[in-house]
Amino acid sequence: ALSSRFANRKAAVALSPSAGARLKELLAKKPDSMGIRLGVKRRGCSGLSYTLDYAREKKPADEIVEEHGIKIFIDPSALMTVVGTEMDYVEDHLKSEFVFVNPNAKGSCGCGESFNT
Amino acid sequence: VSRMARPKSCPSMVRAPTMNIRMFGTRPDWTNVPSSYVEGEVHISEKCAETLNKLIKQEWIKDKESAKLRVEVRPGGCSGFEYEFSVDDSAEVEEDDRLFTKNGARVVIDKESLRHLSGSVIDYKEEMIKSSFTISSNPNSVQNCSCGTSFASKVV
Repeated sequence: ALSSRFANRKAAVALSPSAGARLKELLAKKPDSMGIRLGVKRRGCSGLSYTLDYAREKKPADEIVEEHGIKIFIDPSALMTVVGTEMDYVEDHLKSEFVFVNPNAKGSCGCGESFNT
Repeated sequence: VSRMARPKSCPSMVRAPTMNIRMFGTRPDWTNVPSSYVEGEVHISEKCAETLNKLIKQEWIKDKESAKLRVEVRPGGCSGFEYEFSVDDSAEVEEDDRLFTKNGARVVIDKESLRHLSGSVIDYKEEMIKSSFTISSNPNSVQNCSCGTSFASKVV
């Protein structure tokens, strides 16, 4: 029963198809990276903000999620606050950005980059 | 005196532009602003000019001769004001507008917005998480939002 519960466990973060496509594009230009690293930082008007970087190594306590063939390394410090988050990529004529839909967020900043849980 | 009393940061400002107006006093009469503010300069970064020149070549812009980046400051965001960027391809420049150029790229700012932007750098930032036009080092800004789109202005 325990193993089936783990098998059914939802991935800690999800990627929308557009986010997956954009990350593939970015990672293709950085062959030395293993995937992306998702974290949170204490800053911003709502307390926390997301950080995104290329992952060059696996750290011992990282949670690793693989979606659309992309490995997402989640910092252990960020895991509790980002679990269940969907990462999306939106683009218009003037800007392009990753946005995060986080069910744990109680409030967020207008730009969506900063949030609190 | 009331200007001095304005708090530098206040969590209750979050998403309450109407409250800001109350806190900052009544909306100023733009026609009576000192000319030193209106005559303010902004700087356009190399990256911004380069991106803008590329952007103007895109198909969706009809009048490429007149197309320019419009930068506006509006009440809103978590810190009181926010920056807005758009492409303006109207043939005529309004009387209230100031035009700035760099390497052939053009930026237009209305005089109300320029009061809050004087001395700033109009920039384009490319990061993994976000690529967009931004305002960097705005000397009128006392408090920034993490994403840089919203700020509190010293100019009342």
